[in-house]
Amino acid sequence: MTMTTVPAYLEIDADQVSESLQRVCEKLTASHDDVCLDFANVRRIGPDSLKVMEKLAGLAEEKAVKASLRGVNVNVYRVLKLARLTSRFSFLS
Amino acid sequence: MPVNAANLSEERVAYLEGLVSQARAAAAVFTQYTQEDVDHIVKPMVLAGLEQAQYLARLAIEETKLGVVEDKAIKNMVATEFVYDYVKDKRTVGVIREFPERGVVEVADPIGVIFSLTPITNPTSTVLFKCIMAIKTRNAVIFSPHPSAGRCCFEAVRIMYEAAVKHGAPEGVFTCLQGHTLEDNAYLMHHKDVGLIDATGGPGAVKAAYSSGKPALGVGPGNTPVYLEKTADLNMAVVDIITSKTFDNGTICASEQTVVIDDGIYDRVLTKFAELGCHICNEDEAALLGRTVIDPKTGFMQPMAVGQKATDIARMIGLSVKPNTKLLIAPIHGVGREHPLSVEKLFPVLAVYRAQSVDEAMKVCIDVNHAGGLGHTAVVFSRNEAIIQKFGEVINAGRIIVNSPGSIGALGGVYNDMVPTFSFGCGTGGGNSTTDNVNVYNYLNIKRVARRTQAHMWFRIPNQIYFNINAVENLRHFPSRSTIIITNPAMEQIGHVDIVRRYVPAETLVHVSVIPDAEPDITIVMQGVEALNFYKADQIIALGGGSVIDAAKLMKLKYESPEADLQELAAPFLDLRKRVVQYPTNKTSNARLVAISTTSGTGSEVTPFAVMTDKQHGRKVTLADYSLSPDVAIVDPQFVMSMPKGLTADTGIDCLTHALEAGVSIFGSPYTDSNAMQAIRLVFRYLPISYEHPENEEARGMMHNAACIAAIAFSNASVGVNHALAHAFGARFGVAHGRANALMLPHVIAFNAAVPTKFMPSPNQRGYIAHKKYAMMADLLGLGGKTVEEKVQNLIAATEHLLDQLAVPRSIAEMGISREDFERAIPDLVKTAFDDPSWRSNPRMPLLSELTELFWSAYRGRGAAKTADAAQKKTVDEWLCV
Repeated sequence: MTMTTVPAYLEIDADQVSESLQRVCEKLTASHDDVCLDFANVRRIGPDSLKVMEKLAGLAEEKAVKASLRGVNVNVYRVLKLARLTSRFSFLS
Repeated sequence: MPVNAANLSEERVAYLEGLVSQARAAAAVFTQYTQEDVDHIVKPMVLAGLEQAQYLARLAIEETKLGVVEDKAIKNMVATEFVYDYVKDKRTVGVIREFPERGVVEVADPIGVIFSLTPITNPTSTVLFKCIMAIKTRNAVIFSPHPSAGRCCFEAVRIMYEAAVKHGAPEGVFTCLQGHTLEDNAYLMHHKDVGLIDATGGPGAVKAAYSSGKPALGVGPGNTPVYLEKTADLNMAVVDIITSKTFDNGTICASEQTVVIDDGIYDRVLTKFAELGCHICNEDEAALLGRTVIDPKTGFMQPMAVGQKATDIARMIGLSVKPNTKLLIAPIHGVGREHPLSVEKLFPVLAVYRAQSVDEAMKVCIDVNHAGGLGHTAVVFSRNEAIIQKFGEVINAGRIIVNSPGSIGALGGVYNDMVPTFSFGCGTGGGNSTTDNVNVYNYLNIKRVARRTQAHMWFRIPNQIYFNINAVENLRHFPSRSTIIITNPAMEQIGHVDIVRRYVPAETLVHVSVIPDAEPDITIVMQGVEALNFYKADQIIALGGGSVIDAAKLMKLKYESPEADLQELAAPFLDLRKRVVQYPTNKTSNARLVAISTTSGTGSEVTPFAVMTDKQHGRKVTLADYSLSPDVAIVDPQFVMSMPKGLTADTGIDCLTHALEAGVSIFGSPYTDSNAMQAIRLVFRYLPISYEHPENEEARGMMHNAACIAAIAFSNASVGVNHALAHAFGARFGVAHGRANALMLPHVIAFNAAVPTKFMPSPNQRGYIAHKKYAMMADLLGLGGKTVEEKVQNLIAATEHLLDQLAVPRSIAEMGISREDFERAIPDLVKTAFDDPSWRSNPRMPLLSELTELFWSAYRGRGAAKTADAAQKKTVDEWLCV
């Protein structure tokens, strides 16, 4: 039997993107729940954030949980695409 | 032997992958930066580079042992300050240029990761230059310095990187390989995440870059010829050459290599060189230099001489020169392997050649240019503009420097207004992709956002159109000294010529020229021109059907412009405004053309077309130009009252076809639509009456107007596939044009109303609208129908009914053409129809198979037409944009 789970809904702080993502990683390490990250306030991401995103994708794959990103703007989406990360996340509008 | 990256260890591959991954992430992040962000980073980088210019110069000299520290410091300053001066106001992010009048906007996009090779000769300046370009364009760079300049380049990259990151550039934007090998370079050159290779280095590095299959910028080797011509300012020239050739001990690849001097000034020039501290070699010394500083095996310069002082080179080879000698100048007597000093020498050794003439001087410069320096740089000193221009034409060089030093001149921004650079594109001559002074625009993908534009259209008609019964009386208002009436025998017999003569002003001398009632050939045209010349005519009255009026148009053309070549003017074209052949505008004579039509079909009295028979090639050709349009059209129904029934039907259907085809043409406009619609309405109403009651003056008049109005529409919107089919079929089986049109008409409406297999490019239309225009015509005729499809069906039915009323055969078969004959003719018919320009304005592009099917539909006959394939149940509106 499979259970339907409600994903943990986490807002990414636009001023501390990398730190927010790091906290998500920690949560993910400690649980097996799907996560949905709200990027609605994030206008730009830096190389450090990208590194954490990569780590997050790896963790999600390892734990077989779904990591979704919500409200990602076009510029950030393009960065994720160029960094080959889009295929490792789900995107919600 | 090709370098094999497969020899790399796993650890090395992981290291290189790490570099690329870091650069890729930085490049990805960089895409979010605005122009302001970028400019905010560039300026402090430039200041940091300027601050460290001398420090980096010293490092470079210590490590490479090449060049002059003061000059290297200057190069570092040029690479920062001068490059900044050029780029500071340039837009390199987002929209960089706009062309509102063309609807085009250029948008800059970064390349991503650039793999950049830098040379030993200009190590730190090249790094500084490329770092500034990369940040200005939002790219990440992995540097691979020449192994003998690794430390100084690493330091230059570090200085730039720290300044950039401090001011907001993404971390990882620059990296610099250390202790690297050719295998490392090969690995990175082939890496999928490297977008561009920028190879400033020796021929090996450049060749490897281009061989990688990646987009690459490369520099070619130089061998700069200099032509010192007798009109030059010799004082300036000699100082410039010394300045340039000694700059950084001659390590700039654009520096002068062989100076070709006019005989008359040769001795004076050499004396000046000597006076300014150069050593002029005698023949033995020149031979010694040639044997020692050039490798006799390879024919290339010896590395031990590169970037060394003249005195050091002299000491190395045992040549006695004064202390502080600036340059060693060696006379040569030719170019090539037998003359070793004629090649590139990146040290202060300069070859000189005495030329006996300008021709010889240019030829020797060409020889030097081809001896290893194609596409690079050349220099000319002269006050003679013609010589400067000629030199620019015959020398293959991306930079032709005039009256200035070659090396500093080529760098740009100091002696001229060229773009400052440290990378010289040498074009295909040097095996490069560009002749540019490589600059920021070479580091960008420039995208063009092109908005849809509407082609300018036109609506042109003759100046004057007179219509209704007795309109011919208006001839009275056209003064003429000598008029020729062009007509056919029938017009003369039935008295129409006499009617026309009656209204020509009494003082006018009138001559009548009767021509056969058939499409004219060149003989008929030239006979007419002869008569026009003989009578010095100032007015031509064409009285007849389309053939007569067309003949008169061509006579007028040849009369006014005797040099006009009718065959050439009949050349095919797609767009009247872009046609290759232009109609003459210079006129030796002037004659007013008045066209009086005696049929109600072609509308030739207002069209810019003339059909001519080309007997030599057994074909008909159509000439088209608005200059062919008659000046005056007279649409007087008294001249069509006696048209027989068959002619009334055929010409009436020709008129309807013109209107229907112009109505759905891709060149249609609101101007042509209004004429097409009105003509359709008049034909459906008055053609049956004209046919059944030829004496009905109103019906005849309205049909005559309809023909003229339809012709105005198709003169501006053109016709369509119906005409292409009819031309082919009519010519093959000898069927009158109007009748041939009639046989095709319902099938073509159905064809155009269905979903096209292939759409016709039509920038002036929004979506496919032919079916809707047919529906509009059905509405205009009050045919009923709720949907577009029903209305189209009703239009087809009404057209078929009209054809039945006019006793037009229902099929090609009914005309007595056997199936076997028709089947045999089909391949030729299809080929001819496809070659016919008429369909180029048809809304639906006909495939060859579709032309075949249209012919067969016409063969099977009316009633077989359907608006869509039986299998295709969807309505057009479901398929097409509305």
